Amino acid sequence: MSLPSDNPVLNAVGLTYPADGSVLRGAGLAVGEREAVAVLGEPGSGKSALMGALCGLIQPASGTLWANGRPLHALEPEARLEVFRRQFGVLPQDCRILPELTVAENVALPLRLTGMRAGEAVERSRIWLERFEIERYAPVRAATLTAPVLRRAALARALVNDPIVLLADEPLADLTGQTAEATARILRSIAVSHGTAVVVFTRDPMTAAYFNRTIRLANGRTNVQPAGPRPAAVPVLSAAETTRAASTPATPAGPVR
Amino acid sequence: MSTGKGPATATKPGAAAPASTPEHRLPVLAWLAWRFLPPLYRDDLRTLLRVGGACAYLAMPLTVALAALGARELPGVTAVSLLCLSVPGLPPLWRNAIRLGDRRRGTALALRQVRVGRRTAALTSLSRQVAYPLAGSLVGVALILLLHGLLGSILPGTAPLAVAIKDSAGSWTFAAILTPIVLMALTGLLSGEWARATGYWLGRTLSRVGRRAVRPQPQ
Repeated sequence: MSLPSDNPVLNAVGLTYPADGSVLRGAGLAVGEREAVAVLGEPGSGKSALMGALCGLIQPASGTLWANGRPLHALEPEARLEVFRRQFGVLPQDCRILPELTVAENVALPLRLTGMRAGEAVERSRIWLERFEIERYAPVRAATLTAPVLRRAALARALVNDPIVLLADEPLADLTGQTAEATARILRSIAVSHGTAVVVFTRDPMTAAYFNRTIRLANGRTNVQPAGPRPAAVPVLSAAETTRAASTPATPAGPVR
Repeated sequence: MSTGKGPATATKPGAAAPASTPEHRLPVLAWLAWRFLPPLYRDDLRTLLRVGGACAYLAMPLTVALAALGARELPGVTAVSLLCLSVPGLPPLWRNAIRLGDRRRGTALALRQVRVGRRTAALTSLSRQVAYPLAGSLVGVALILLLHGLLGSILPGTAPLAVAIKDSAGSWTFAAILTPIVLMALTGLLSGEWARATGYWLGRTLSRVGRRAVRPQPQ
């Protein structure tokens, strides 16, 4: 189980998928407001399944999921989908940007789907493009851009709706050096400035070290790491801390099968 | 990169996004379907030309066959002749329908990532797959409608196709409407997962057979 949070924005308890627990076996986590958390696990540990269960892409066989004190597991599928659509921002590992649209149109799309006028939606999307320093690509068609720009555009698209929870699968995967560090810093600052609970799924301890707290995932079970400093207190980890965190061995939570 | 406070328009979390209703989404989805239509990139243009060309080619024997079927019983020899005529159009249609299907699945996935429902995403991403074979088959139908009189006069009276072209004057309208529908359905079928797997298997098998055939024999 995850670290108990005073007032969790996202609280998942005992998620099992499928019924035999071959992928997720009672995984859970609690993420509070203004918290940026990394879920760290080896390939095949169930990261993508956990993210899918948290954002409604897969239906867990058992377990409970709460968002802002609302029991999503008890809602009708349509109502649950509406909550996910309005309050969750999702960045899948295989994030797809529509190549026929410009970057600004892509980022504005979630807003347009909620009924916002095109001009207003594009204008609002520009704020996020500026924040991710890709505003110069706003009028460019997505097909001509590089993977790092597309990754940041996908992040902007996930955030443009001002979600209460951001779930991101390997958000720094295509980014290197300064860009990765800056993007991680933005994710953490978004958690603070917008009160968004940020959950990053990664297999890279270096990536996990950028965030406030690490939840280890092994064999479909989560295990809490000692709580890190609060988001506002400490910015990005120093290089020495990052190296130290990277060298810490993973501790499997459940019995290895 | 800026790391300071959030955008000026930052609102209370969860309160920003208004409820999305089908009425909101419909014009946007229609706009998206429209945006997917023009072949903006070289690959899309190539797929349009190939799928369209194959459908234009297939539309001609298919229209004749449907017109003959609508007018009276289609003689076996004529049916076989039309089938043989259509065979060269099938491999390019299959190969490019697979590309079209991959593109459609990619588009549907991108739409699902912005929380468009599975069925709605699939329907929205269909526009390209409908438009390309439709355009090609309309060209083919137009060509055969314009030329069937001329062809009928050129072909000897005993030719199997002459029978179909001359005798089916009454059902060209029926054939002209049905042909694009049949070809769109065929393209849809050939762009599916099953057709894709079969196509790749067939391609691998044929290339293996080809390699075996040209392998030099030991002296």
